[in-house]
Amino acid sequence: MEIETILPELVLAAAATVSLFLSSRKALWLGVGGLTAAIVLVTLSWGEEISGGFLIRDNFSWFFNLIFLGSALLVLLASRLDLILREREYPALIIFSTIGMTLLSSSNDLVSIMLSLELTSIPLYVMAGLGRDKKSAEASLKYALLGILASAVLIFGMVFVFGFTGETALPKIAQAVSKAEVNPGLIAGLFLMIGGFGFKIAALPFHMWAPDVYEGAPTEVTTFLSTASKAAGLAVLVRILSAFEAPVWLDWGMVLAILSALGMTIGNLVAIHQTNIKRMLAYSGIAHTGYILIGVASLGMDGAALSNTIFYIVAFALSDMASFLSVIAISSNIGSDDIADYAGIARHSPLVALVISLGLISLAGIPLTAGFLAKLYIFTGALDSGLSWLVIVAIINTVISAYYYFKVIKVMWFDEPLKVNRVTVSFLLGLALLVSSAGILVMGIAPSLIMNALGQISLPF
Amino acid sequence: MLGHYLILSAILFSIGLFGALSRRNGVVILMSIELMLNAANLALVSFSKYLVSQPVSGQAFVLFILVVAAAEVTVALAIVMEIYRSHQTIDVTNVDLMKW
Repeated sequence: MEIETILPELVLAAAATVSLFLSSRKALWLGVGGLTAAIVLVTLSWGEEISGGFLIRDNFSWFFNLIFLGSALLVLLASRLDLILREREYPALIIFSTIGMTLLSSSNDLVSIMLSLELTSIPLYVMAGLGRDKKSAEASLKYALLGILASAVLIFGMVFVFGFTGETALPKIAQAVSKAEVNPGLIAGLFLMIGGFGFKIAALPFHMWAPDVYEGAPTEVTTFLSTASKAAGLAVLVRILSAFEAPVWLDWGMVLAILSALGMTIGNLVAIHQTNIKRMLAYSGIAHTGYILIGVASLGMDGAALSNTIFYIVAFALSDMASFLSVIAISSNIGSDDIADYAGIARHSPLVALVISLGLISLAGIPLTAGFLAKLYIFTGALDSGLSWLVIVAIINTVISAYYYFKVIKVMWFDEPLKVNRVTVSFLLGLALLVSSAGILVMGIAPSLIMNALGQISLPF
Repeated sequence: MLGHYLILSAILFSIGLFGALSRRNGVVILMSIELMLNAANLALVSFSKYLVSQPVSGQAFVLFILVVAAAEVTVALAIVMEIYRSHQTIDVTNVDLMKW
């Protein structure tokens, strides 16, 4: 194994370790520097394919690395200064978790998948509690206990896959699976693993933690959870499922399609009733996991499904990023996460209201935004692979979801303000808001820019 | 023989899962999850002994699982301490500010 296989991770690990010994502000800037350096390194490596034992760095992993590093950078820039000043370890925790994600999307072996998944999750358990109040402690406890339970289930599934294929390396597992006869142990193993990853990406019915953790955790951490952490779980799920593509007796596509239909429907229906914006976005995230799983379910049948799925993941990450970052800006000024308290925000602070509205209409899937094209691609792909019933469910859900997204927009733009509250936005948060909303518009108007890159991504087996 | 070990492992896993879902004390939940992880370890070593041609990778996997379990429990116990400080209880049914 060459050193350049893990060069971005080495840079990040060095930055995170050194930042533990520095003052808060210096730690923040070192973290930003380390993440930027890693982004440059990953971008330069685009197109290279390095394979070494536990890890494989191909275009798939480089692209997902950019998503994780970009989200970590935006979250770090957008974090409230009082959180950073109070918690010196916060930048280091974000970076350690990001290292776990970049390794996770590059893992080529069950052992490295398990280790990097834990490296991703353990800092997140701690970060959920950094709000230092009762709600935040509760979020941290729920996330940690359920997360550890999910990883125990995942590990038990991995053990069965190892036992019945005799291998831990994914390419060899793929070979063994393609030769295997009908095998209940292998099926049980795969479904236990899907359960474990389903927890990570907050797919129904493994989603129970998401609303509570999203609400209780500091909004910065929520943003990171809903963008980077979800993308990481999806990346490793796609990679593992591609190893199980061969056998006809193992129809995981149908199982994922059912999970997807459940997630979309229940996520959207419950989101309607939410009064807390972070909770509403949590349920909307559960529904969007459902939409993404449509793409994952058609992976085996449709050649374009991989790039459609990744396009959706990027579009969702950008839209959720714009929405949650605006929530940071608004909530830290008005001191409340209740949608009712957002009344008339646009009257005094039209720019922030514009950004959050852009994020929400992109989540709803209105034309000229990234979310519209993402839905269009994934729905047409699913039609081609014969999942037309799922597309009908998804379209009905899109209509339902528009209701609660537009309710928030209506409250902000047309309701009478409760009190005069100008939202002040720090320079760095403003920069992060600008980047994410520009991303939504660019992807919505010129999708070929990103689709060309996605066309160069393929999975090895 | 492999069957016996696998049945034992499945029983341990089920006891652990039942405990994790039904117990109310945070520390006991963690102990139950440890039981689930150890069930996985038992299955791994018995697969390595009886079924797999290269037992080393399975046995190395066990060591990694042990390390991960230790790391997880360390963090989770610290979080339980934090809960005790903020809520004066580690009964998870009393930690319910947020509900849907």
